[in-house]
Amino acid sequence: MFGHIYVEDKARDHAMTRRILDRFSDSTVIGIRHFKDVFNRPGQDVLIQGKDRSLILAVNDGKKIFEASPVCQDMGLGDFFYAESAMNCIFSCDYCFLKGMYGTSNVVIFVNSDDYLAECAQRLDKGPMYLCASFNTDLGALNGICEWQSIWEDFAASHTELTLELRSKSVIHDTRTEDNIIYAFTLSPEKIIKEFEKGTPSLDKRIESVNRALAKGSSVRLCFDPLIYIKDFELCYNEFADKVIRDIDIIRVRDISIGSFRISSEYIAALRRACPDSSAVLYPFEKENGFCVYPSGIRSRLIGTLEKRFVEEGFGSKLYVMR
Amino acid sequence: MIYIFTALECEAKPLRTLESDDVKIIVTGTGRINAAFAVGRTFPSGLTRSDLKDTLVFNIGCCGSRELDGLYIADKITDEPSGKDMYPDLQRICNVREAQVISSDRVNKDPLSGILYDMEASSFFQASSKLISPDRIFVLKAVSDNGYTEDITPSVITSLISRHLAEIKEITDSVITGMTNREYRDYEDIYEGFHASESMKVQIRELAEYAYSTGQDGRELFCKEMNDIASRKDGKEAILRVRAYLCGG
Ligand code: SF4
Repeated sequence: MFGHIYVEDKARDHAMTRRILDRFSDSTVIGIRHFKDVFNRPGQDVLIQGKDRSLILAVNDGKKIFEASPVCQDMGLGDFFYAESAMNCIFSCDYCFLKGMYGTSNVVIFVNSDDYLAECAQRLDKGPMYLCASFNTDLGALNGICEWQSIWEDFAASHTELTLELRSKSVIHDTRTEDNIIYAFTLSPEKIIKEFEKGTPSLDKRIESVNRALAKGSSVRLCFDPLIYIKDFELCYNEFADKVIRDIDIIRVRDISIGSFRISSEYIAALRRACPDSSAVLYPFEKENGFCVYPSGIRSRLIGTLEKRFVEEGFGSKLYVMR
Repeated sequence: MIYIFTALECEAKPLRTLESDDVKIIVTGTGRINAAFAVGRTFPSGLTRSDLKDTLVFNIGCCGSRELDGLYIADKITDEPSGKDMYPDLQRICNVREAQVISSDRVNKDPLSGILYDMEASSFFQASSKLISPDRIFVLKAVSDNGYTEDITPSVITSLISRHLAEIKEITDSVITGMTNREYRDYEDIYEGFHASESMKVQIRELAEYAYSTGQDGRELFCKEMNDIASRKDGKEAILRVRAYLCGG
């Protein structure tokens, strides 16, 4: 899966490093002093790297838990933070802000999990916290590579003042049933998945994961975010809503978030270089408060298409809409 | 375009068979400073990364090693005097053995196991990476000695590189094949026809490129509008029509 694994000198003796290296014994392992020597090199070609990503195993000596930006939905859960337990993703969604933000397709996994949990526990001393642990990555997708998802699940299970969100597009086989652990599944129409969410599981597979989690009694969030403009979006998202409403028992879903594509203006040029043929990123966006967004008319039609369907079905109270 | 940098003429000699309009060979002279200067001369200041986006650079030559033998590609390059490490991206390369290269100003008489030693790779890589992305900078080294260089004559080096010539050619060929040159679309005639200001040019390009990404002919969409345009005002209105059609109003 990874042709090359770069290992920071100080990460070498960590248990997570050893487990990952055992799992990927065919990869070429290269010792490095600091992850930024590889991750932050100037002028990296995100496209070519995406064909054979490298993995970087590192120790995060700096800050590990960050306050989330106001464009992120806090879903009414108050103090919203995210943990940077890994950076970048093994999937390759065209519109992913990580491509624009990091300028590389390589993936960093921080292996000093105890330090993260200590920082989180310290923050929890100040009061309850809503933590998105799968923010600059898809932890579910990294499940077969490292055990970060279960580390956070175990921690949340014993810290009820923490509300943990694990957001993913991947197939999740096993979920926990604690109320404060939210499994947030991003669902998109199959057409959008095929065109713009390269390498991710199909809609059917994602719905299977949702239903498995619901059957087990886990707390499930559905994320329809980002909605992407395509020519026949109304038809596409209406058919999608039909399927979701038919195949998922929405009554048992905790909540639903809806938002259209938006990205910091800082990242759009890099994102377009990384996906030079993708209409998801080449759309002539408008700039609003430092973000590239669809024109307001398109935004409300995109959001409205799904919102209307869920309201009509009586699920309006479950909706969180990012306008 | 491919540039192959070698330290010595005797290293370059067998590689000259690869020379063409698209492949240039540059002999730098030995040592880190000469290598850096040669890269600097080849890509003078004023050039940008995007000017060199289709350029590949190789440093090919001989090196020392305690026990390794054969041809290697560097996956880590250490500049001994500064202690700086550099990392090429090797996604374009397959079936070549990899090793770390340490570059220093002197012949290492006490080499570490598993490491290659040379005198140019680090400064070549450092100078090249100012303008070229790390997936297009390659250091290929053939092991000539284990630290004792007394018997290493120019003809020994020439025959060493000759022995690896087929492998080197295979590597350069496969790298070239993997390069995809993106088509650059020119909209000058449309700008003219639309009496476009600078900001209108940006909008035309953005909309046309978006059209192509959705499978439509972006140029054609604008060309169809061109007959009715007599002024900049008409041009602006036509851009709005194309925008409404493409972007959903
Ligand atoms: S799954 Fe999420 S994190 Fe991964 S590439 Fe797609 S948008 Fe980015």
